[in-house]
Amino acid sequence: MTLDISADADLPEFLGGAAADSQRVRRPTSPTGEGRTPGEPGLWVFILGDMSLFGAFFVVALWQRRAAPAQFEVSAQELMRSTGLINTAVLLLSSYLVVSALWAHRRGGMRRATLSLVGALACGLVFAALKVAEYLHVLGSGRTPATDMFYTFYFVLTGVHLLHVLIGVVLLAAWMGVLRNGRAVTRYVEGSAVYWHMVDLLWVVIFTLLYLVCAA
Amino acid sequence: MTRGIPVRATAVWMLLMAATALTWWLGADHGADLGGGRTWVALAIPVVFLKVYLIGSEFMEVRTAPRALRLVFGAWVMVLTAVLTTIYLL
Amino acid sequence: MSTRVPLLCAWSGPATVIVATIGFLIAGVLPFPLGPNSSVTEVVDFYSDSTRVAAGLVIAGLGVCLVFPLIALIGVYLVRMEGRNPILAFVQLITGAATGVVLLVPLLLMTAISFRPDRSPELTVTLNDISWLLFITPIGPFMIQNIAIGTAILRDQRGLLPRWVGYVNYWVAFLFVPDVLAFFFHSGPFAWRGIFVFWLAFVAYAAFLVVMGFTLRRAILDESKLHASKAVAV
Repeated sequence: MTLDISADADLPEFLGGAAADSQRVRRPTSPTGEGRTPGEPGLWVFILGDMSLFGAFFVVALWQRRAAPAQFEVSAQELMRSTGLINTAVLLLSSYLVVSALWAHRRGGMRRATLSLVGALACGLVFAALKVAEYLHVLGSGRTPATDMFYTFYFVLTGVHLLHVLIGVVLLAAWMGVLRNGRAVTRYVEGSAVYWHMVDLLWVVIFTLLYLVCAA
Repeated sequence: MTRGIPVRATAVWMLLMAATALTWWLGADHGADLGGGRTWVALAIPVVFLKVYLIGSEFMEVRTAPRALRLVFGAWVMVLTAVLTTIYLL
Repeated sequence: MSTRVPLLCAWSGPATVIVATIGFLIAGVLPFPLGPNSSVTEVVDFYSDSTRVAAGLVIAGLGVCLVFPLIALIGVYLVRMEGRNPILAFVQLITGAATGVVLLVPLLLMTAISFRPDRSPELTVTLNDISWLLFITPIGPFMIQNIAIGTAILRDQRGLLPRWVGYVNYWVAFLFVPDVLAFFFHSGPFAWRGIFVFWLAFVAYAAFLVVMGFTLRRAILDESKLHASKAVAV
């Protein structure tokens, strides 16, 4: 006597039951008729939300600066501005390469897209390496996140941003996997591109605020 | 569009690189030379958010997105510019 | 399929926020929590009104346990999404269970502090430090849970839950990142009661509970309507 569990529709699917008759009831949406959302609408909840987190960091940082503008100025001037500038250029270049990759992918130019992505990935790694070198230099000169409020925000802002860069590198690498399999542009591909541009955009603000505005 | 990437995107990228160089020049004490140091520095904030808007509009393709997203993105940029500039100048 | 139990589980999400908040308000943890830079006198005074503080913390402790039914309901949905190999569902269940424990134990500790108000002040401050750091810093289970939910929703071909909910989970995971900084600061925005630690985590987690609760409620109701209309058609 065998126990034929495969016929038991009450078992969940992963225990051999039948696939559930599941489908989300879609509410009818009004057609906008114009414009194409990059990636998908839900992505922008994340993108705008993450940008707002950094926005909140920026607001509080500048607010804290009001209590000690001279201290902020002295500390900010200690930063390696040229490294920051190179990093800005590197990320802007990487964004350009991501745009190039996306358009190549759309047109079926898989090899060209892959090359662009390799370039963008390399830029991301260069950014990370420069940032680590910068951290070592700053820490080596005795400055820690606890030194003063400026350095707290310097380390937290650039640190959380660096985390975003590293995640972006992983996303771009996965995009290269999509290219290798010869698949067309997906929501994921466009979403990764938008994410990378967000990483670039956030750095541009961080550089301007921390390295330039605070130091003036 | 034989080369794949739109000319517009390339132009925007070059503009961004130029704007970055300009901001750095302004920040590297040259702004103080022009007098009214804090005002010039405060200008850096709207300039950087203009760059943010360009990156979003051209690279993220918000420009060709539905109006709702364009409005939200633009509003986000404007609100943050206003708040940060105000706090800096306070 | 009866919707009563699943709906109750969905409501337990917002209920967690409401009951825990009420408990915190009674205990005095809200609206102004103690901080690492609170003086010894302030800490001792806080716990000296021991009956009220204990009562409030007991309510808050029960409140955070309301998260367990919601975690189970999320698990059911993730299992349905993943089909044959519900690995993310299991990750979510395990880490979700951990989040509940890691919220409850510090509150029990805080309640224990108010058990003996005439204890040596140094011990009270130390116990308070431990309770708060235990409460604020263990972001691991939370982040892994959110990433599991987000990934499961975005990989779900059948679209059981709206995709934006997946993205919200990713966002919430990021919002927990600053919390580990509480170990390193005694004051300012990154101390345990700082705006980017206590307040951001509180709002982010509350938003997660409310979003999951209401989205799941909507999904349950829509599905039951769909099944009802199919039954009628047959």
